[in-house]
Amino acid sequence: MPTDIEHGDNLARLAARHQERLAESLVTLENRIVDLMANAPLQDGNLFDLEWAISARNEIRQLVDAEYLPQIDSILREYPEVAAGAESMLKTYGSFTQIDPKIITQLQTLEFQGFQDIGAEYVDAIAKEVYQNTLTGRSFADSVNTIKQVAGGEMARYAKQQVHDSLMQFDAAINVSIGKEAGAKKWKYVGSLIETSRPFCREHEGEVMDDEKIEQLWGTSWAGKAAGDPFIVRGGYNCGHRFRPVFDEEADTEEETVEAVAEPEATIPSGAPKLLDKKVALSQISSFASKANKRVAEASDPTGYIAKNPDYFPVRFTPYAMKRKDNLIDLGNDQFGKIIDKGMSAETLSLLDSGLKEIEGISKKFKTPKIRGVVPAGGKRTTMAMGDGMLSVNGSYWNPIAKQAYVPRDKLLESTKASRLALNKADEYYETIQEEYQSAMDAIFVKFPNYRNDQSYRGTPEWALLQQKSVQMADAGKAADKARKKWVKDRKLSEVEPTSAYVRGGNISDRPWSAKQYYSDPADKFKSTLFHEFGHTVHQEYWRQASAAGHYATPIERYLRQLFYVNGKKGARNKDLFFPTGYSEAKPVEWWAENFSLYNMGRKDLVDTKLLALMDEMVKSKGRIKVFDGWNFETGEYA
Amino acid sequence: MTKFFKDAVKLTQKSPLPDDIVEQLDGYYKLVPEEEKDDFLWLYEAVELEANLI
Repeated sequence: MPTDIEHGDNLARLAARHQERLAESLVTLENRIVDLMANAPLQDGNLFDLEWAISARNEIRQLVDAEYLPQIDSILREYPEVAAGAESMLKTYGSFTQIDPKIITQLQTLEFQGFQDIGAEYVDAIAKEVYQNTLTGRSFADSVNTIKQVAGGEMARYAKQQVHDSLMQFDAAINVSIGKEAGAKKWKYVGSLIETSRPFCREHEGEVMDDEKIEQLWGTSWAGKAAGDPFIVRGGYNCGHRFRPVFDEEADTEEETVEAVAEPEATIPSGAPKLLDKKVALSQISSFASKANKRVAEASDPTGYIAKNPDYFPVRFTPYAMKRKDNLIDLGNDQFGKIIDKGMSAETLSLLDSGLKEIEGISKKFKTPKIRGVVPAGGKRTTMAMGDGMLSVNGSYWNPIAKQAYVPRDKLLESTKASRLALNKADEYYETIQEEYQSAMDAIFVKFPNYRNDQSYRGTPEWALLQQKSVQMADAGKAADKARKKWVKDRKLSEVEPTSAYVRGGNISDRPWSAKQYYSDPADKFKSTLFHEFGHTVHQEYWRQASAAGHYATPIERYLRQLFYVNGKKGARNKDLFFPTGYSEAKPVEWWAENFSLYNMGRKDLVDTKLLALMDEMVKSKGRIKVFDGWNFETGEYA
Repeated sequence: MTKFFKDAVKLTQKSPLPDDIVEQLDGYYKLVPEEEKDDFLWLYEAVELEANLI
């Protein structure tokens, strides 16, 4: 038979599972609502059809009925087991009668009705947003985003909190009902303390109280306190405590120590190279790039970049920056050989320095020039990109990941804990202000019952208070959102991302999108991405004189197309190939780059057989290979 | 993978790429769910390879 603490811990785990299940349903619901929006009639990309907007309400309701309520129903069907758990726990402390099954059914029905109300509010909120966006002719993309905010924001958060509170309140009701049936007059306030436990719960944890003391305590107030029967609402929203009935013999003797929830063990990532001072890292990388920016007129020399004109380095690609009317030839010449470290932290530069050193060796093995310059991604979303030997790195993406590689995990966990506490405080303040706002609203309803038709309440002190609370509520909501974002960010930093265990021939649904997901070490993720980018330099520069002579694709790129597509023509992919990641299916050069990254990260088991043979041959060959698999790599055609 | 993500992948496979490819990807990026956003960033990488180097 479980103790009260064990029973509480079981419930906490069950509540977390229920929240996860509901969260999944809400994500599906949100996606289905977005799909519904995809059918909205548009005029110049904007919503306009009010008739459609009105009919959408019915469809939204059907989606809620299909995705949200069945999940709630499934969750509530587990409640009888909770009741059985409570009965079993109480037997640890004495002889109690069993709960009447009718009471369980009634409680389930009441809880379901509460969730139905939330669902109805959800439908109202979304339908209103759809209608308003249509009325104002908002653009489709903006509308989808605002609707996603409504669907996945406040309402979803409220529903998830209710799933927790519903379970705890059900358990509390069972405990108290059985206790009162047995004639209990004293109650012990029990539950595990966690870092976010309220001061109220910390103060009274383990305390035995009689009815009078409980009534007296509930006459006071504390942050996050919920309205209702103290035996049911207990410490308030998200509270995991309960009142367990006790009798005199136990109350006199029982002394239990409650331990705080243990924190996960701290670990420091092991694969990171030595952390360098930013200036040292920059100096080392700059020297590397300067040496790598070697121009040669001799096309077959594998160590340098090919120049069509002795004075200029070529810029090969259709330049998107043409829009800026930049002279790209001059710009290229100006940037080649330089490192612009804007936005990159010392941690990112340290990983980059180490990665570029490894690339020095790989470039020799693959007879390809080294990376000859680094620029910031400059406000773009790409994490890294490559072209003409120039690497761009997105500091704002990589800095937090690089930090993970150097900051001990216990420090990251401490930050997460601190931001969780700050979030808790912000949420509690928001709840308090919401309650005060509601009270101010109620005061107006009471004093001005005819407020709908008569606006005499305006200008009164009650109205002023409501206005003040409205402003405070908006500010508190924003502060809570900000605190939540910080906590989410910190939590993400302190989490260890699971590594993909996908293997050749495994279930395709387990396959990761990108090669970096085969590693959990943040330093390895960086290196894997860097190697992917250098893979692009290899297909862009290997035997490049063909493109220098006017062809767009290099011989190796033309070979990759032959392999990648059926009959070598753009269209269906060749099914005989192995695609180690989702991204490797996107294009022949991404297939190459993903495989190249895995090859150089030591995961040859995940490299396509044909590419593995080609890469082995490129490494083994003294110079660049001329013919392989019947393909002439110098001219770019079948030999 | 959501329909938005699949559509964005198809967009990056067009040849030649549309002039406003980055802006179009930005639109899709906003639409894909949070759990797909990190993967989605690779589509910018694919485009950068051909369209905007420096």
